[in-house]
Amino acid sequence: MNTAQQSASEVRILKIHNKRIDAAAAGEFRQKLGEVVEKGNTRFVLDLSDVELMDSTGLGALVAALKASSDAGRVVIAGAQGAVATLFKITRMDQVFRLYPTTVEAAAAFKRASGK
Amino acid sequence: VTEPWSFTIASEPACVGPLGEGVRGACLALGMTGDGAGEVELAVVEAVNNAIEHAYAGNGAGTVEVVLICRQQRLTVEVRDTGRPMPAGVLAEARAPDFDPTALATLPEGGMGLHIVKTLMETVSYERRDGCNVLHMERPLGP
Repeated sequence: MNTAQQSASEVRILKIHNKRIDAAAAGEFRQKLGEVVEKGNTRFVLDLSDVELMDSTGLGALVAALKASSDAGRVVIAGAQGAVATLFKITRMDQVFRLYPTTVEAAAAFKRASGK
Repeated sequence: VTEPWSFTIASEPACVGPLGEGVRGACLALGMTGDGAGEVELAVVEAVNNAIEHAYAGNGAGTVEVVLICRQQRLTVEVRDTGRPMPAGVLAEARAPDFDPTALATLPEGGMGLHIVKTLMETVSYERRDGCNVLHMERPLGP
């Protein structure tokens, strides 16, 4: 799993460089998200702008990370497009993860929500 | 009617990515939009994942064949395996996950595959044919 992290104030941005988050990659994706949460980054933006396909196993890994982040933290999504955005909608997970077109908008929404 | 595309893979998760990319490429070659081709790819990936996990119980010992046929501006996709048949009623009962978005502990981490397939394709049926399990899916080529 090819990722890069960047901190914008207190909001961690995790960019996924893989084109696919599928059953073959879901285990590593889950582990990577778990490491981010374990380091105390319970609020982070997941940048999926390079991802062309995410399947339900990838989505399941993301849900597991959200559960581990506790109620105080949230995970928001930036850059989901095409079938990736469709996956969130048809599984109703767009009601769980807020989706924004860009990381800038996602980070700004995070700050507005926390009053910072 | 165009010549059918046929892809056969070992029942291993690592083989699904190249298969999906082949399906997406075939859909684009047939004139589907990028979003449409991506949706068919996702439906096929979910169907193949289902065969690998349930028909073959994840043992990697079987094969999964995907056939795409275009006829009169409609795309037909069949996913065929020779593993354990899907129990009756599973496809018909597959529906959108029911959860409270604010109750984290109740959020589903799986069990959404067939619902995704049924949502992305216009018609979906399942049958046992000549010793194979066949998931048959159709949708228009256009939006």
